[in-house]
Amino acid sequence: MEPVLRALSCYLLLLIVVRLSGKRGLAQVTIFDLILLLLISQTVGQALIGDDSSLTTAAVITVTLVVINRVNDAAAHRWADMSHVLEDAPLVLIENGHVHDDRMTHMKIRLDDVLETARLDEGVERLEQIKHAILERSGAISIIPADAEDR
Amino acid sequence: MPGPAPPVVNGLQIDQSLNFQRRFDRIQTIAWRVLALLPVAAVAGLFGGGLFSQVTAGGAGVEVSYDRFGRRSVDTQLQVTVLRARPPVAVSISRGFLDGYDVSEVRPQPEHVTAYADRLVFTFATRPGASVAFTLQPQHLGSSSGTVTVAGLRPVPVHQLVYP
Repeated sequence: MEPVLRALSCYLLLLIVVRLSGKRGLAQVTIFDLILLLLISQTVGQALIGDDSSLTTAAVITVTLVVINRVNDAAAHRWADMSHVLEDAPLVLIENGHVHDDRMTHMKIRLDDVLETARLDEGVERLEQIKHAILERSGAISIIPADAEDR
Repeated sequence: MPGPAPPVVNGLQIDQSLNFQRRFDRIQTIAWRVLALLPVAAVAGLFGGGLFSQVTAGGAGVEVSYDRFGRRSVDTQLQVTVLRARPPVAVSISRGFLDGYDVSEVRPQPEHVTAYADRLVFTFATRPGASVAFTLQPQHLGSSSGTVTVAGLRPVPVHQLVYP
């Protein structure tokens, strides 16, 4: 029973911390985000198995985690509100060329970040070439470039 | 069902659920303040091993030091300093307390240990002023209470809260 409780507790802890850290919190935006993720996984990994490194416990914990995640996905699929709680919702940062300063400030995203993604993903050179920029649930920024008619 | 189609706003079909995001932001702000206090509380000793987690109880003749908070399967020390007693010194720890722990180590080694229904008595050949240290490993979660008694002196109550 204990491995199941450990898996449940760790899953809940991670879910809460990751959700509270916001969309960009652990979105692997920087190398340091990645390092942080590795450190967290190492720390939680030890708490998960405790001093029991048997194959049985590893199997129980692995299956428990996958089952909880599956239940999580099913709940998010069935109820839209649950989906928002568990997986967040996207947020439009630039809408038809209009920059939502308040949202960007709140999400601690700079125009530089948006422009960098626009350059990398769409080869966009300037801000006015961006029609929409959306902060997705994953923390990634997606860019929809303006076409000739929009400009 | 793949769910309802998101609304189209300014040519973009997306469900931002702005009301939800505003509500969640408020929760997030409060939660962050609580989370930011967590490391401070840990340094202070709320989870054991911090600046103020050590408690010293006792009175004339004996002092007992231990951590107010323990963590399961992590060693914690209970130190008994005998100020006034004739050797050999008998330190008894109530079962109610000790049953929640594995005794990993006792220093110095007791001359003998006697088990009673309600307590374990460790007998040491120590002189007044000397300390004996019990390294205990919590096995049960929650609060553990009991007494530490040096023969001939008043029992000292001990109380520890054990986290998962």
